[in-house]
Amino acid sequence: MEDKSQPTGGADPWDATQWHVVQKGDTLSKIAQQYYGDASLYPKIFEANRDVLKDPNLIRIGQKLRIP
Amino acid sequence: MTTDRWRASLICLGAALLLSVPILAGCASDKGPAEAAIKAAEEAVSAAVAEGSKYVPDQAKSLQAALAATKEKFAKGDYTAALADAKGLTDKAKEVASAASAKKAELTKEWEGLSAGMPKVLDAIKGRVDILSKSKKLPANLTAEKFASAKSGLDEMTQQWTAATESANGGNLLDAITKGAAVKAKAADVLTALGMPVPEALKS
Repeated sequence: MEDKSQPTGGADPWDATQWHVVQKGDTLSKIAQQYYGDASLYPKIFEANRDVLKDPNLIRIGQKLRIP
Repeated sequence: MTTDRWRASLICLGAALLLSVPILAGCASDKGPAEAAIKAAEEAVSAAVAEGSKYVPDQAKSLQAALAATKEKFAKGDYTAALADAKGLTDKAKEVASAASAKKAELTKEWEGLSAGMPKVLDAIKGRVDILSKSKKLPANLTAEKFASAKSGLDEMTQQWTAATESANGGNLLDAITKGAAVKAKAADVLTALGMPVPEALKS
């Protein structure tokens, strides 16, 4: 499986946040399946990204999502 | 002939005694100054060892051993050597105090970085472990054994981090950093096992 997570970088060398860049065909369920092995856990990703997501069904290609 | 030899021997003995008097007098005259110098050295060593034993323990031990050796010389009546050693010890004590101070500053800085960063890493791991614990099936790259090991690793790290923080709060920075470094190394392994990125700070 292609790893779409971004390495940590930026200013904080202790930042352990995992990021996922939305690809064509991605849904929160698919992303949850990839990282958690369980599509039904997609609300965890939605909740962690409430600052950029208004609707769990609406994600944009290229969007960077935090994977808790 | 015998009388001449006796006379010569007596002359030699007398000369030797005459020569040794100033030497002995010189040694005895060092007693007071040596005593004072040892007292000053004791105070300097005591002050240096208080912090030195925490931050530069080897140097602190060596300083204490040198003080003991100086006292021994004094006890054996070697006042000149004791005086010279005691004067040197005071300077050495200052060096140890200075080294301890530098090491303390270095460790304080290191602990500040560790204590600011490590909790974020542990929170990230805990967050992922909590979510994966609710998962009906683990992700493809994570076996049940690896996940169990990551969970026990998290418990171990949490306990060790608490102990590190307690050591730091108790003023034992060396112990705090040693424990913190073990948590740091373990965290890198657990993050990798969970398929999470390893932060830059954990790579060094």
